Amino acid sequence: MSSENIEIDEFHEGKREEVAKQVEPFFKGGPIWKRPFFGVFIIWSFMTLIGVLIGLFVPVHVLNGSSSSQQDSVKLTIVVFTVIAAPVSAVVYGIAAYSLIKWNKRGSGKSDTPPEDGVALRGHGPATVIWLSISVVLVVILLFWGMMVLSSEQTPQGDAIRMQVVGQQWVWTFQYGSTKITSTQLVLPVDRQVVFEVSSKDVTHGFWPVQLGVQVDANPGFSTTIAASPNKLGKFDVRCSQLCGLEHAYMQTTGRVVTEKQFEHWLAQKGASPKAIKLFTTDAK
Amino acid sequence: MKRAIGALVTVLIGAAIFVAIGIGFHAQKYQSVAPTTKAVDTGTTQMVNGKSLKVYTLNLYSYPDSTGTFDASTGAPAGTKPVAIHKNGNPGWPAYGPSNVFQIPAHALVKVHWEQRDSGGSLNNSWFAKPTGTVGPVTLNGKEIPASGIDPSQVGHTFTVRAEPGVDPHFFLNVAAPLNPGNPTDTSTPQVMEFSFVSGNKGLYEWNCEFPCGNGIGGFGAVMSAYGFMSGYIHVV
Amino acid sequence: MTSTEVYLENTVLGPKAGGLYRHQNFGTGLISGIVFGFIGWLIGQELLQGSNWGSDMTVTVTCVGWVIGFLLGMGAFNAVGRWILGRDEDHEDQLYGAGVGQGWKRYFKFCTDHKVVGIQYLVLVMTLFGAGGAMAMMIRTQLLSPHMNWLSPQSYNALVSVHGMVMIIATIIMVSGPFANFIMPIMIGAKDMAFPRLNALSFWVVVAAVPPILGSFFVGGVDSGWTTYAPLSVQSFPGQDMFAVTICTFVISVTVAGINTLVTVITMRAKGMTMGRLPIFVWGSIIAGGLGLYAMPAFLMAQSALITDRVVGTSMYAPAQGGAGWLYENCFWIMGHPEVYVILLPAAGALVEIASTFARKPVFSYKAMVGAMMAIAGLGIMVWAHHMFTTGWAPTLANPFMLTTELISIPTGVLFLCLVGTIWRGNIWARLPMYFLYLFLWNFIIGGVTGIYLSDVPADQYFHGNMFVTAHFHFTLLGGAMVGAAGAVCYWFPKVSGRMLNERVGKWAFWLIAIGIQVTYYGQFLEGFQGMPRRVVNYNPLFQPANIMSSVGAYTLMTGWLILLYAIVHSWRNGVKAGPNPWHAKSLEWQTETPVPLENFLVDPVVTRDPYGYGEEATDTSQLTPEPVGAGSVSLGNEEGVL
Repeated sequence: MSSENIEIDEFHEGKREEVAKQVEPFFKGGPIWKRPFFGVFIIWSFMTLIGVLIGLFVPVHVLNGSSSSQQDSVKLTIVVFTVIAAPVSAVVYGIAAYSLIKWNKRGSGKSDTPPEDGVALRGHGPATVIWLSISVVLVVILLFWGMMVLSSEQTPQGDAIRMQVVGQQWVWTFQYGSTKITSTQLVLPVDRQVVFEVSSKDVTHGFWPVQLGVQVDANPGFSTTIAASPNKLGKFDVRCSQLCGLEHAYMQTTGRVVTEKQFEHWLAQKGASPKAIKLFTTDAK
Repeated sequence: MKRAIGALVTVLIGAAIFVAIGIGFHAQKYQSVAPTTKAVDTGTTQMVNGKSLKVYTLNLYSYPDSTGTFDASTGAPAGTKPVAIHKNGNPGWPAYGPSNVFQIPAHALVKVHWEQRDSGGSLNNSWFAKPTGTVGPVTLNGKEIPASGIDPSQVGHTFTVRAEPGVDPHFFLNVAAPLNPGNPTDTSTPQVMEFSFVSGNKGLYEWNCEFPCGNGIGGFGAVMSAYGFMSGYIHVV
Repeated sequence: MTSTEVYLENTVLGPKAGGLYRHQNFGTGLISGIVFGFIGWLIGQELLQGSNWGSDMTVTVTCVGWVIGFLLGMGAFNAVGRWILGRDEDHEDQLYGAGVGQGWKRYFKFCTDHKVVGIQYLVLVMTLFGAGGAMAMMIRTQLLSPHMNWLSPQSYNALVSVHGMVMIIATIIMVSGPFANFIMPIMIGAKDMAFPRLNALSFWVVVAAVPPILGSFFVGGVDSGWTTYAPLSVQSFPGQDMFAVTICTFVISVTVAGINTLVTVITMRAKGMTMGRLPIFVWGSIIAGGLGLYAMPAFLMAQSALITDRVVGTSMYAPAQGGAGWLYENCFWIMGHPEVYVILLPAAGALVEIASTFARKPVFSYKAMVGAMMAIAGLGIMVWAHHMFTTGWAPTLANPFMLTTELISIPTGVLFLCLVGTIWRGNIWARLPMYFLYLFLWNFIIGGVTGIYLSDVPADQYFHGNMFVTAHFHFTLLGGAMVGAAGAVCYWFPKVSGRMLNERVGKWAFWLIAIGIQVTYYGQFLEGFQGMPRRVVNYNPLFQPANIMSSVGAYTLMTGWLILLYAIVHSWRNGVKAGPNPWHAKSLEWQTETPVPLENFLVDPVVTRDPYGYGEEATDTSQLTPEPVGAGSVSLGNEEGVL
């Protein structure tokens, strides 16, 4: 009885080639439009095209405006990743959809008896190797992209201004270092790196100046830092990204990126002495 | 057909359960929300920064004990029938009155008369001792307070208002009232703060108190995190 | 006469007719739970001086009392008690424990039969999904308008938190509860789980764990999200204590179930069922079980430290007294990320079975698939800090964690390869489970690709704490794992219930679910791109169109799940009777009778090859009939039938 059963390993060794012959060749055989490769390719191209179009047009249109180089690179990252991911995902969609179109007999879903057994294909070395290699290459690309962007974003610059962000339930207050100015609105000069020293008075908050594309938690007891480089004049939003209790939804405020002159003027208007402003904005250089 | 009806009935039962639970949660909210208090139109106008604005008044009370009643003895106009300060009062929890939901018109000058009767202490962030977003003088018991605000270690409550997310321009109001130095009860002599502010665009604004009068880390547990005691909505219409 | 023989003549047994044993059921469990809860309340209130009903001490002690009382009342510790008293159980007691001859009542008892436990789990999971789903509907209704003033912020936060945790509990047990209990032992040719009483315990402990978290609404709710980050959770209402008691109890269940699964597979396999012949679903279950053993204790630790912080005033997480919020966050995510794979792997395993059965083909690259699952589990324990990229914790580790996170996409890719490779060139049998497999492929690609943005530190600086994350993990957990679980329900329904699922109704449900998922979570992706933070009760009007889209999708989704529920309940009662093997599948569970007899097989099965021999010559089993158990890969072994 057991002689009738072929051990799986035995089968692998002995029948691999035989099975490989049974499998309809992926690339070869018949006119090109009848080869599986062609069908998969058509679906793949279609799905890739859709993915790339979505990647190129949807995020940049839907995404909030950008006010900093960090947010510019977030946008670029999303576009690049979507464009890279589209053809890879489309491979799965292509194979799955082609199988469904080609090898699903009409009415099979209503039948109580299964179709005939398919080909006993228990693996395909080259396909697995190619699949793995592509994954590895993609991971390396993604990793290097991330590392590159991260290091370029967070490199401190000599002329960065440092300011303190204090979160508490449920208000953000922004302190402009030596000027002793505190505001609930975040006003920043354009084209200067800003280093935010973020801390909290009570629980953990998430400091998220949205259009600046950076984020760091505000923790009680010590400060965390994050750098942003505003590069465009205009308004932006500041939100809390970490659930912080009852009025978390209202822990939001607005910010403005202004010219250096306007910034100094604003500080003066808030009551900072010219000396303190100079100390704050110039001596950082 | 029979199956379609069965499926439909299942969906309807599911929806009914959902609606029932929803009504339960909605009702729970009204456990802590009093009827809306509307700002009173004085019929006058006042020039603010070159604009003529309608003037409204709003009375505000802060009590040390939410289980007390709101009537003439606690600051309400004479003749007011006693009603509970809070529908779901809790001994030892302070509360605002006459309500925690206010309605004010957009772009109007609102003059607030605030009677503060609770005890207090130090703020988490002394910046909140300083009035922000007010128009004209801020007075304490009839005397104008300095621009730097009141003593941050002697604060009773604050009235801090933020606009709904997305309301532009930036709206932020904060006024702190000092603590009641005597034995604080719902009927003790209050600290009277008077200030004015210009309301912003329409929207669902939120107010809360920034004095840590709850317990736990930062003093923001319990009463501070329970909706409707030290927090509420302001409908700007 | 040896002493053993002497003993056997005068066995020290329990009281006649089992004493308490035969009178305990869910009802006595409830009563005892309430009584013990009340005792706990008294202790908390009077002896431990909890000042009022709402104090942390009173709430915690009450909940612990409920859990212990419920399990005692259920009879969970009867056998242990007997051992302590030096008494044995006789065979009759054991048969009673397995629910023999008790009809439907055995589903309400501490029943040791793994099939009963499986069905109990299935009902519990559907109940939990119902509860979590109702909460989700309320959240979505509140978010229909930016000015919506329906729920108070406090109720909203409580709903968000409890929805999250109830759904996580439900998804953790949704496949490994019903199917790793009902199907997995049959798949490996075992008579039951290795520890039948622990199996029953693992189920009833979850039942005990559920009421506290749902009861938290009545003591102020939980306002710190399902993550319950300290110190916010230390500051939160007594609802947080109930949440923590639920977690601690639930972790016990997962741990017990994980050990049970592992031991069963290691020690209870039929003759010839080598590790290399295990069905992929079994691999998925044991890898998930093992991973749960690694992951869940960290959560137990985090939550019990939270309880001590809240109740007795330790300062594990209070920064001013030397504690650290990051400690909690690390412990939480050391559980939190592997837990995703605890949810996913059994579902993925079930889908591989479905792919093989309905494409009529062997699994593509069996070894690669098993390796990929192991790699996912192995890497899964090294990626937790990607949830903490924006916390400011250990910025120097950003790159290493970005690496490990992105590396996971390699074994995940192999998982896809195996699934599409199995479908490729198969003769597709488009029954309902196959529909769910296709939906899984579609959704999980989207969930995976959006995960890549989040693994990238700079992009995560935008997406963290944003609705994009919400959409991403719902796409993987709901669109991936839960769809896989739905496929598993449809696939094993004939074996579990003995009837065929009504696929016409099932397909209506399928399309509503499929479309509902896309609409709901595409809406949330849009919200995320636009920058809407998570867990907000009111939001910027800018996000309204996307929110309406998401809510409409959510209602569709709810309708779909309810119709699937109807299909299941209706078919369970009125469906067409199914034979033992309606899918003509080759794994062991289909070779035994339906309904499955006690101890599963009339004759001990012997396995000679793996269960995927579609299209291979040696699967001609006609010569092996008329053996009672012996189609496909099974042949008759030595006649050791027990029943």
